[in-house]
Amino acid sequence: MNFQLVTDILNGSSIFSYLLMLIVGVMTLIFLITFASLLYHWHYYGIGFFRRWILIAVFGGIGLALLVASYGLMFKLI
Amino acid sequence: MIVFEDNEYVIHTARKHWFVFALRFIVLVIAALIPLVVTPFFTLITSVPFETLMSGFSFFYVAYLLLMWIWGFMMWTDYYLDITVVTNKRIIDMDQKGLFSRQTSTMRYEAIQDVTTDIQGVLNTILNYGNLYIQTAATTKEFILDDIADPNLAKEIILRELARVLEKVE
Repeated sequence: MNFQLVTDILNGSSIFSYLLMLIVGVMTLIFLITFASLLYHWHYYGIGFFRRWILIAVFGGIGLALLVASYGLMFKLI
Repeated sequence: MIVFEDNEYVIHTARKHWFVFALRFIVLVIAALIPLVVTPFFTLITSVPFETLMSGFSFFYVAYLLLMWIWGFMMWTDYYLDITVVTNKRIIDMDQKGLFSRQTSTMRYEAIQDVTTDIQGVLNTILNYGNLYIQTAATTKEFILDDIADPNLAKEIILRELARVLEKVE
């Protein structure tokens, strides 16, 4: 199998850099929209105050950590 | 958010059995672990150096994990907010269909003609969860509550309230 393209991409071709930026951008957008929507649902449909804050901390915290990690790895790759 | 009528109070709430959510969660965990299992085999069939492959893999895996994480929370929210509330005046069924889609149906006791439970399968019987069908007059739709915990208890409560309401009408 010819994996030259994979090697080029992983070695930092410019197309790949744009692709990575696009992926991270889309992921950020998806995370923010989901987070905002879930916040709305948890607030509006009556999830209790403490449970809501636990959800925000867990979902937001780990989600943000993964997002920051993906940014870090993206900068490492491009 | 439910706006209750005057003198209306909640008698019973029912949501999907936790096992239904647990099953979906297990699928999610397996899906999150698949790349970790598959990638080492990928290194065997390609000439790409392991370190190069891993640097690319870790980026895509973190992005993939983030998607799984978002999906998991959407699943939990869907499970938690899908709820059926039985009050002394009506039955309110709220169905979270997605992040931006939500359906709320209300049924008054006067319209109920028949209540049926359906528990099928070994796990359903052991864990006591199944479907509850509430049949109304032909012109209105049937209420179907899928995989709710203890459907027989919900049925009993609904029938008891139905009898009380009909008694009052007569």
